[in-house]
Amino acid sequence: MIKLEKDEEIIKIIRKHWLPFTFQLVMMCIMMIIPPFIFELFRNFLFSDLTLHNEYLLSFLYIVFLISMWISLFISFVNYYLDIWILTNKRLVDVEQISFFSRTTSEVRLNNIQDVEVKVFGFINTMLKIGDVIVQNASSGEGFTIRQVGNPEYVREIVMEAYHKDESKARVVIVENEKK
Amino acid sequence: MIQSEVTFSINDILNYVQTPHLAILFLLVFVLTVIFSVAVLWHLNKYKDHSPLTILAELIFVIGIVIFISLAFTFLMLFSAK
Repeated sequence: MIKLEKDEEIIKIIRKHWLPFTFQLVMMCIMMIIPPFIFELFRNFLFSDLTLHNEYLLSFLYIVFLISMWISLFISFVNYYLDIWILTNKRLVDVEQISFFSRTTSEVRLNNIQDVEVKVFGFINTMLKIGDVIVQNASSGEGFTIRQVGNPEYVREIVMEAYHKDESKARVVIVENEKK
Repeated sequence: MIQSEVTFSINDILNYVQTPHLAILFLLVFVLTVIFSVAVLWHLNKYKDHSPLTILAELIFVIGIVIFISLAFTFLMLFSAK
């Protein structure tokens, strides 16, 4: 997935919550079944004199529409599935799938983490524990965000836990060097 | 007095479509489907994690595409058989 450094271990792979993607999936499925409903609804007005030959043509066009929707659905899945945060014992890597053929990868060293912020907006998000986690990078001053993550408080906790472990390890190294 | 009656019929519009037009459309759709399918499968295999979810997603995607392309081809054949 990413090239790990020496002694580096993946602690957790964090993805967006499945609910926003499921909502998108349901909307697409509804769109896929709308054309037959419209056809039946207006059958007596617009399609009253439709021949069997032309019914095959409309069916063909509907299948073409279904193919485009099917591909769009899986493109959405790819965008959801490949948008990840990889937390290791040394760094936090943010792989953001912006669209099908564009993505950004950024990382922050755990010792450069300045602040981890959690933002939860709205009633549904509060009930389902969906929110944004923002990590501030001390070296660049910029932060990166994973949106609509499930259980953001837990994500914040594991990031902070990894940060504290990394920090205490660094302190031990400094103390050992001073003793020498 | 001259009376003009404007009638709208989808059937009349569809009558203009001939089999070669539909065959070209099918070919275009087929090529685009293959291109996008390869792209989707390439993306899903990018990290080579071979998790059950990835394999299942790939399987569902490919089965769906095969069914839809077969259906489109069937309707094209039915349309061309006057």
